[in-house]
Amino acid sequence: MDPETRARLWGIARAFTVVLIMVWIGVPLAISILYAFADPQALYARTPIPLKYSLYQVKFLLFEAGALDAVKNSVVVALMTVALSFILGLPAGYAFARYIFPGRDALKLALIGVRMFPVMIIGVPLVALYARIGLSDSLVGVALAHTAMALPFVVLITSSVFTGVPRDLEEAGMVFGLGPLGVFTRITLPLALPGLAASGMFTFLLSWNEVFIAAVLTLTNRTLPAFILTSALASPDYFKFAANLIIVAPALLFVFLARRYLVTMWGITVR
Amino acid sequence: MVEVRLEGVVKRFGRATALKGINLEVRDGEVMVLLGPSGCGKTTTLRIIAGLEKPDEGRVYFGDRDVTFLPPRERNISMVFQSYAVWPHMKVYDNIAFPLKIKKVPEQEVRRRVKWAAELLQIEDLLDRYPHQLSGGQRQRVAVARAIVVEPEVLLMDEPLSNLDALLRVRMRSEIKKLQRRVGVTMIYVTHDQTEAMVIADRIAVMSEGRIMQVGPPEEVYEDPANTFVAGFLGSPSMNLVEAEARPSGGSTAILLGHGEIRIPKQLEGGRVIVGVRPEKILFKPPDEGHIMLEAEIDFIENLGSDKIIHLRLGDTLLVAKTVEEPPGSQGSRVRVYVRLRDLKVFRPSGERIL
Repeated sequence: MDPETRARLWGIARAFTVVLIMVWIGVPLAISILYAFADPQALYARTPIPLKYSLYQVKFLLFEAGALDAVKNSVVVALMTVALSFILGLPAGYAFARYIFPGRDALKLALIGVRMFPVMIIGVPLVALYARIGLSDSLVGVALAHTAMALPFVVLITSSVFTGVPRDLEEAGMVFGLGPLGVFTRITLPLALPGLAASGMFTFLLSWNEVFIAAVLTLTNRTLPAFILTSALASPDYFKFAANLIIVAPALLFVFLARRYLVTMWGITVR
Repeated sequence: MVEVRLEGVVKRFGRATALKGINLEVRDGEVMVLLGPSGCGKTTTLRIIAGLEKPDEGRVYFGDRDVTFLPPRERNISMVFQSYAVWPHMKVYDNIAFPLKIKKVPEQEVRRRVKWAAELLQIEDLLDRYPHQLSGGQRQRVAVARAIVVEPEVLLMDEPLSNLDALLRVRMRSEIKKLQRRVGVTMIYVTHDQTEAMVIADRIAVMSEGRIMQVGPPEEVYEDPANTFVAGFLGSPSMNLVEAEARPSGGSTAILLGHGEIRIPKQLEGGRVIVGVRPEKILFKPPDEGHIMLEAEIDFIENLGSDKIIHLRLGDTLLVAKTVEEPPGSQGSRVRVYVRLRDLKVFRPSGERIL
């Protein structure tokens, strides 16, 4: 085989793979979104795609079944999670990025080690603990649990973001009159902002999508995934699709917004 | 403006000792160049003067003020970084104005001083741009403008020209020298480029492996090297350093070189010595004053346009000569070469200069 045909064959193979992956991810997504708006009767009709559409199930879920409250709860919990995990994780991330201290690598490993334990092992004792200290069925309680889950990621991601800020720029700040805090707020933070924003969105989504902890820790104050798990999944298919749309839409929005920053988030900077 | 003094500065990084006792005095208003190969400790020395590193031993004084443990911001210094370290999230104007704003200089004064610095470095047109819209040379100018706008007592430069292309580097080094003259600031300049050092320096401190080898004006360091390291590091091609045997007899010493003999009218210790001659001091016509003569064979000639580099062979010994004139012969021809006695440097095998 001469090099030209080989190159062409490779090109075709690559294009095919790309299409396959796009179909693999795209088709179920498109179908589930389409079905969320399908008229219940049309959904079960024997046509390749539903021919009649309505907003009935989405509206019903949001305004009558209580999904809107669940959305609100989810947003509150996710925002609290972001705030808490950044307050705790940002200084740790900075320390990992800038200082070499004894036990640094062991600590970094231990951070990931926390994620080794299945969530259920943490979840069940938490129910008992929260009952004792009066946090059961509270949004703060869920946010605290989510913070514990998100913290290792926040520390690791922000440390990689801070590593991406050249030391020279901070040192120039020191030389030209800034103290340690001034260097951080006026040089490091503005430069790290895009990466930190991405990591914030990531944390938001982590909390937004988390089902198990949210389900066991709440009863009346359900977050969205917990609400869907306990109510919508016991309903007919068209409600499931509608619930799927409500939970997926913000995630899709996130991906489009974060795409530009996702690369820096993992420590590779493309300029 | 202030004089800078380092006394017995030692710096260790883990088990490695980067600086092994640096003593250096930089006079008020002079340009001191720290010159040496990479890893010699020149940048570490500069960072200790800046306050970005703390020495493990020794003291740093600015005038009478002991600044050893003061943070950079309390030292009244400025610095141009090798990477320029121009803040990418600020426009050029804000980069230059930033040090002044931190010092709470009134807004009008800030504008006046930024304008002054920008004019001096010819970057008035760039003030409204972001650093990523600038070329390397322009960014370098911004870094210098930012460094002089605060009117520092000491201006530190860490290889500021090493990221520029060759032409720009040649232009900027004389511009920096002129700028320093106009501003009159005490400047400490780190470089590994000997030509840059010769052009910019009032005095050069040649460093090697965490020690200062020699301090002196450029001509002195070049003409009168204190040891084989300095002799070999400065000059291009570098000084010929040839091992030889010294035999003292009466009031003079005979040095056996190749199959010739150099008679030096001075009593030296016997044993092995190293003889040094600069390539341009090897002559092809006998000079009027006291000299030695050697017979050599031309091994190879490099023609660099204005200069010719002539590789010579004396038995087993190789010598390099540099001349602007026509070479005295072609490859393989035997020639006589002459060296003035005062151009011969003699070193101990350990490196220190004897003569």
